[in-house]
Amino acid sequence: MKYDYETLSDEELFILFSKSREVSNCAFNEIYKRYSGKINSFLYKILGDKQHVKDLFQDVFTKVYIVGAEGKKKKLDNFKSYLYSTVINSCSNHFKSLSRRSNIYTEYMIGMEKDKSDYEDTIELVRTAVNKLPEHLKEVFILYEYEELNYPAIAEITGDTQVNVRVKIHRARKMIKDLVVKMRRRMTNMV
Amino acid sequence: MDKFTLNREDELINRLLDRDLTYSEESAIMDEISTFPEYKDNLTDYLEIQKAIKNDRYIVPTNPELDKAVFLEVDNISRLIFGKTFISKYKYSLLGLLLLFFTATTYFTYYAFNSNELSEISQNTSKVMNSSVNNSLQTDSKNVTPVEEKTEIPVVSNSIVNSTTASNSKKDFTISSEKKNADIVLNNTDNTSEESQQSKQDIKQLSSSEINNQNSLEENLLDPRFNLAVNESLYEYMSPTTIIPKNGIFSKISRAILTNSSKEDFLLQYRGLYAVTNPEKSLQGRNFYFNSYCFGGFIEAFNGIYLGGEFGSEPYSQIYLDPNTSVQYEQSSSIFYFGLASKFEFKQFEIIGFHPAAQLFAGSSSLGPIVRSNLTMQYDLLNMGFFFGLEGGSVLYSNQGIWYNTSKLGFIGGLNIKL
Repeated sequence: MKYDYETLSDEELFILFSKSREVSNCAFNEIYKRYSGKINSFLYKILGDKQHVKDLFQDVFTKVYIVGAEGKKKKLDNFKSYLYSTVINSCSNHFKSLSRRSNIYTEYMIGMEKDKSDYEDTIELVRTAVNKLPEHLKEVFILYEYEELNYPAIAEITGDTQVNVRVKIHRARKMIKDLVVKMRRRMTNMV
Repeated sequence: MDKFTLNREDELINRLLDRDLTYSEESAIMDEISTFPEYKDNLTDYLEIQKAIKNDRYIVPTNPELDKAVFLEVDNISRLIFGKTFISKYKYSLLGLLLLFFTATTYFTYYAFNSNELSEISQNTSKVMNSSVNNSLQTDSKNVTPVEEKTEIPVVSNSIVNSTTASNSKKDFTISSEKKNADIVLNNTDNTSEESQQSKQDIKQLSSSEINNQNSLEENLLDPRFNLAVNESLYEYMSPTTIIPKNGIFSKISRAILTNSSKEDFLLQYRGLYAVTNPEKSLQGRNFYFNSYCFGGFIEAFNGIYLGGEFGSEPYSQIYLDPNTSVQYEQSSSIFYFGLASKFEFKQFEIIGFHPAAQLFAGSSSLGPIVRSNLTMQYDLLNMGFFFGLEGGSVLYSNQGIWYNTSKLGFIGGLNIKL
């Protein structure tokens, strides 16, 4: 049976992982096409270290493929949530093993070309502020603000309640705002 | 979670920044904020940060090296996973298939020896008993070869004589007799139909241990089944150790195999052998395809090189010397063997889909050490491989302190399945 992989949903593609080897590889190819950039960006935001991003990126996609190919998850309501939860778990394990925090955006900025225009300074300040967030807040904040996931999805990924997720995001947001304001004042004073 | 509270101002702004507000809720919050001018600066800061984040939402593309590494790893994993899946899905089918082969082999072997050859040798018993009473050996050529008198000539001299052979029992017994300064008398048999029918009912199958090297010729002659087997022989004398069937030189042996062309690791093989040298066709039972078989299991240790083990059964001609009578017997019993094997595939020499392959085997058998090798042409189709070619085998065995070697050559055909 031939599939039009581009028209299939993430969940349908995930189910196809457990079909024949050929179908499985094609389905994975499509999923990879859809999410590789997003996951790579997300990992850069969380980890910031190029080598670790590479390792975890590979680890995440391999894990997802294995689960799908072995048919361990017969039904998946939201593939995106599942994928990000795998990323979060991998990151958590990574941080546990390293017992250190990453420097967000150190590598993220390398080679990036974008129109920063009026927000260039603010973007820099926000990145720095995000980098200073505690890990549990940073993950949730990035998922919400950068990956644009909603509260239920983040709750599913992190295993928190929606209320907790909301509180974490509000808290992170306030911390970032306070940090940005503080840094701006410092810069103004220096000038 | 830590206790965390926002003041009213932050709470309102955060609710506004959340994307899950309805229009009315948003309007209400905006109205409230507008009543407090000091909130506006705070809201501006939040909005500026949010705008900066929006401008910072872009995808970091993966580099080709990373893509390649991921796909390579996934490909390797898929190979393992779908290998296992294949086994889990088809293992019972494969086991069933193997059991079927074994059952069929057993059945056909039993059928071949029990129903046919035994019936041919189990005829008259009375004359045999007479010969035992006389305790002498006499040859009656007319009775030995009642139909083809001219071909069956008993030899009574100081030479090696083999006028008759017996084909009976599980081990396909044949006899060559050697007796110095004595007459060999192969007893009379009257193929009386009534007696024969009675004998068929009464006489059980003659086991190989009863008629091979364990018994002397005299003892065997006392056995009516042996005696009749001699008379019913379809073999001709060639040399003290060699006989040939009257219906031709070539005889048939069987054998079978499993293989595949995909890059999987485990390979199952079944093959059948069709012998072109000894043992003779009818010494292998009626159904040669199931009397000479081999099962093998291999793991691809290197590219195109498989290591594993084999077991199987096939007949080999053997000589036994009776210590009491100096009578030499020849039989072709099926021997069971097992051992280590290696398989080599030469895909670089592929011609129209066929490529050469070779196998080596060394192990032990119920007789003694055995070595075999074959050269085949193999055609791969999906997970399966079909092959045919030539195989030679040699067994070393000992009798009365003397070591003998028996070899044979045959055509083989078989099947590989890769898992």
